[in-house]
Amino acid sequence: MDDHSKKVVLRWWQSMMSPPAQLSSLHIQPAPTSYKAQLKRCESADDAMLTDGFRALWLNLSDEIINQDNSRNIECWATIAAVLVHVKSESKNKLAVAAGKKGEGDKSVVSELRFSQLQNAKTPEDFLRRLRRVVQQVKGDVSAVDLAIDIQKWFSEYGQLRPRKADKRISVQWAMDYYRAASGKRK
Amino acid sequence: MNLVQDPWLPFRLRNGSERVLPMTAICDPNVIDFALPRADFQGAAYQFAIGLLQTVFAPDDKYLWHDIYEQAPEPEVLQQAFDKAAHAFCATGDGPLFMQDFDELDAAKPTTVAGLLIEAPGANGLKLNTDHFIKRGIGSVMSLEMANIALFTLQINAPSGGQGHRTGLRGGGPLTTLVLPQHSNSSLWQKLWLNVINRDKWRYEDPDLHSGLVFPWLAKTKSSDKKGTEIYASDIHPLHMFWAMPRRICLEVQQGEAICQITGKLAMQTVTEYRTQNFGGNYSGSWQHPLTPYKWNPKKPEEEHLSAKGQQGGITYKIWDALTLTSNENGQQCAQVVNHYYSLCEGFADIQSQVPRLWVFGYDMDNMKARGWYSVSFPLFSVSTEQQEEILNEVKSLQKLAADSLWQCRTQIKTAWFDKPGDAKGDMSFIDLAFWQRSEAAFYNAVQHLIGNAVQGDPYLVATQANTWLKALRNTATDLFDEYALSELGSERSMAKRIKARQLLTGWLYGGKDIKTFIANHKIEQLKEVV
Repeated sequence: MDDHSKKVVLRWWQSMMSPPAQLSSLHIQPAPTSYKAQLKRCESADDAMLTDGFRALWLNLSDEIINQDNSRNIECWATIAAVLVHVKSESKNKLAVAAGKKGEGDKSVVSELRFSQLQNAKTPEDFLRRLRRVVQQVKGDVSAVDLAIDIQKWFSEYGQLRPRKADKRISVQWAMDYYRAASGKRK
Repeated sequence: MNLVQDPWLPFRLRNGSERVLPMTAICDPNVIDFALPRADFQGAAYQFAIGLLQTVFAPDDKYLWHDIYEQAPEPEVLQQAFDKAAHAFCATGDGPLFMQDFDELDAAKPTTVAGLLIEAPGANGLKLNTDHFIKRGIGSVMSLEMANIALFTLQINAPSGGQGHRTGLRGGGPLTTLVLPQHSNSSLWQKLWLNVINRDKWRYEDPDLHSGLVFPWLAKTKSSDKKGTEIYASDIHPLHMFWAMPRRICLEVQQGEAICQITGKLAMQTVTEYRTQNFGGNYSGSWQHPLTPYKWNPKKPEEEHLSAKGQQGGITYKIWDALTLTSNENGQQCAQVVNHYYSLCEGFADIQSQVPRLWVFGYDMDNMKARGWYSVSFPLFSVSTEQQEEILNEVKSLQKLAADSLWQCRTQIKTAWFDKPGDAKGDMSFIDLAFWQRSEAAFYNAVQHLIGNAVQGDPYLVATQANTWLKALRNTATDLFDEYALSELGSERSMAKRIKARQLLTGWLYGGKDIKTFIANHKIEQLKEVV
């Protein structure tokens, strides 16, 4: 993901989530609360594409991305929009690290089973549903931009050739982060 | 037909064409290679020509050797030398025949000539119907020329073949190492001459070319059916090693047109059957075949020295040191031709502005069964004899680090794959092979640095060079692991197992005991690397 897109994602997410005082210092127009509400109710990427909240994100992206002749592209960005509304706080946590960390007691916050279901999601619909559930389980305490990057990676691997090196693949990276966090080691 | 006078072997010419020419063609600058239809015949042709040159045309000292390397002899001169031994190289006629038994062996039952081919299914294989990959019926008709090179190939490589069917002088399926010029389009003469040893370096009495001590087929075979009939190195002339004859064989030559199944061409004289008898020459004890490296127990040097053989898993830099370096301390000796090359002159490589390479080839035999044929080229560095022991120790430490990394990598891949990796059966050698091949370039780079440093007087890698080697090992090991164990993550249970195995692997690669020792020994700066 290029720097421009990262900036757009962050500002868009902030416009919905950050307190008005902070937004004015960043010169960001607060988004109407309906954006967030609509996106949260969407059940699929297709639904999300029709919302005003998604439009606010999409139209700010560079022309290169918008004009891509690839239906996966818009689906990817709609998924990003639909997942990111569940991210609650500005944080540096990576999703898989947050999911693997020990919660109360001995267990990881997100169970291995649920995490592997996310890993093995076969369709974009399935991926969206499971990803939202995991984000909710970690109480939305993950980095919005990193999450968007992960989602984009997932889509670029979906239906295409996977990277030659296994450790460049998103599911492998997630698994490594998850189990490293689960075994209590800090990166 | 005479093998040193008449045309019989096919040669490859500089313009790409192939022609059947007499042996003197080896000094023609337009001839760049043999062109035998089989890899093992090709290797045998080289050994035939080298043996012949060493027997009748060996130079007196290294100066003469150099002159002849630079300027190949005239064909007439070479022919004259060959003619001295022509009586030993008859393929047809009434006298003794090349590599065939002195006796007629009339009592023996004829068998199909395909039996000369090392990979052909044996009698037992035919009876039990186990000729699965290589079917019966290959090469059941051979031209006289191909039958002769097949015969020679068998005699120099002979595996054990049942009771009294003796192995070759170097054991069954030995490795042969030849020094070759860097460029494959060098003349055949240079390719061969690099492997002829001057007689100042290798001293032996002038051979009696009419004696069975040099060419065993010129005399009655020393039958080995009783104890005490072994042939030791002291019993015969050193040149006999090129011409050892462990098998008693007589070819039955037929006149008349037929298609040779080896070349696919029409032949006027063919062989379909041969007679053979067991208990041929039984070569025992330690030898020093000039084309083969040997190993022995350094604590008991009087025990038999073992020749290098083709082994399952191929020929990789894992055994590079054994093929190229000599060390009494470690009980290993490279082939005499390699030693000869080192001794030629310090600046040989500089004068030629090219570094020769080492061609290693041979069968991988499982007793009588041929598992495969290997043919590999290795780099050959100029190393003075005095420095070999020191360099060898460092090379061995590099190889050991690689072997340890490979062991960790293979173990963790198995841990990732199986519930009980200790009980998992099956051939995992493909992991080994991939590991050796991928880290090969880094290894030779490291060795080159090592030898460069040794010339400066300090035979160790400097920190940056050692670090490059270490990094190459780490990358190779993790890449292999990722390819084999992380290409599918599977369910949550196997996923956890795979990731844990990977953590163990990277944990060792960055903090294992051997790695730490290597880092400390080479004073590699500990960089904060992300595991």
